Amino acid sequence: MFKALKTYGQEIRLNGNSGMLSFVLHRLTGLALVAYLIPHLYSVGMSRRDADGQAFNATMAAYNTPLFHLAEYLLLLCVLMHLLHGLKITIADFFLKTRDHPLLLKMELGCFFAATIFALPVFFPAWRRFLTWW
Amino acid sequence: MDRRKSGSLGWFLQRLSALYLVFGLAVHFLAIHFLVERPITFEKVQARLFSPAWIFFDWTLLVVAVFHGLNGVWGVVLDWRLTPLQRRLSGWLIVAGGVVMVVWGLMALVPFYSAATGDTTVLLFRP
Repeated sequence: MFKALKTYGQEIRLNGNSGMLSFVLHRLTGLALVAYLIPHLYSVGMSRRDADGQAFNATMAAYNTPLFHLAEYLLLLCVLMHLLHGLKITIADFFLKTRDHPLLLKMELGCFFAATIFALPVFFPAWRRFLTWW
Repeated sequence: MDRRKSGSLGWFLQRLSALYLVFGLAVHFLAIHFLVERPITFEKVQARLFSPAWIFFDWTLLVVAVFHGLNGVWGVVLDWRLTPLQRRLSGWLIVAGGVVMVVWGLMALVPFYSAATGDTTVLLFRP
């Protein structure tokens, strides 16, 4: 993991353009999502601890805190960044749009920031209450 | 060069699984954050998994997500200059990790639908 981070750091220093930066971000968000799958499956696996699901409920209740809401929000940002970049790669590969990378990147970032703002009320109840009051 | 050696099959399956994940994650996100009120409980998940369509959806999402994630990790491993032995060992480690994750995930879902359908025989099948 540290070897990968060091290599990606060198790549950005030597070849610091938007394409390399988005490649590195795609790789890092992908690795973060694979790492997330392990605790996610472990948490769902709590369903097997007892017949009435008390262990599962206790685990889910422990996640219902502001800190975990923030972690969930960061997870969503990782998913969005990885997903939108993946779509960009697919469009470039299948429709021969490699030359349109700058335009596709702008569209990707536009969608990313819009989704980032729209997702705020979903993950932060205080923000939702503020919007309702406003 | 055949497809196995060139990696084109892995590349194509990575794109295909990505497209399924775009749809699958959107549905998963809507089901968790919009269709169910927080906090998520065993009973709420059980109510959703009463439908065989949801069970099929959750299982396929798990298998496709694990495949896509670990195929991506394999892509990262190929970027490093590993010896053939290191590469082979990493490959088998990734495959073993994938099998463990899929089996664990499938078994984790069993209590929800077994409780929902009243079939308690599968509960005997504990890890």
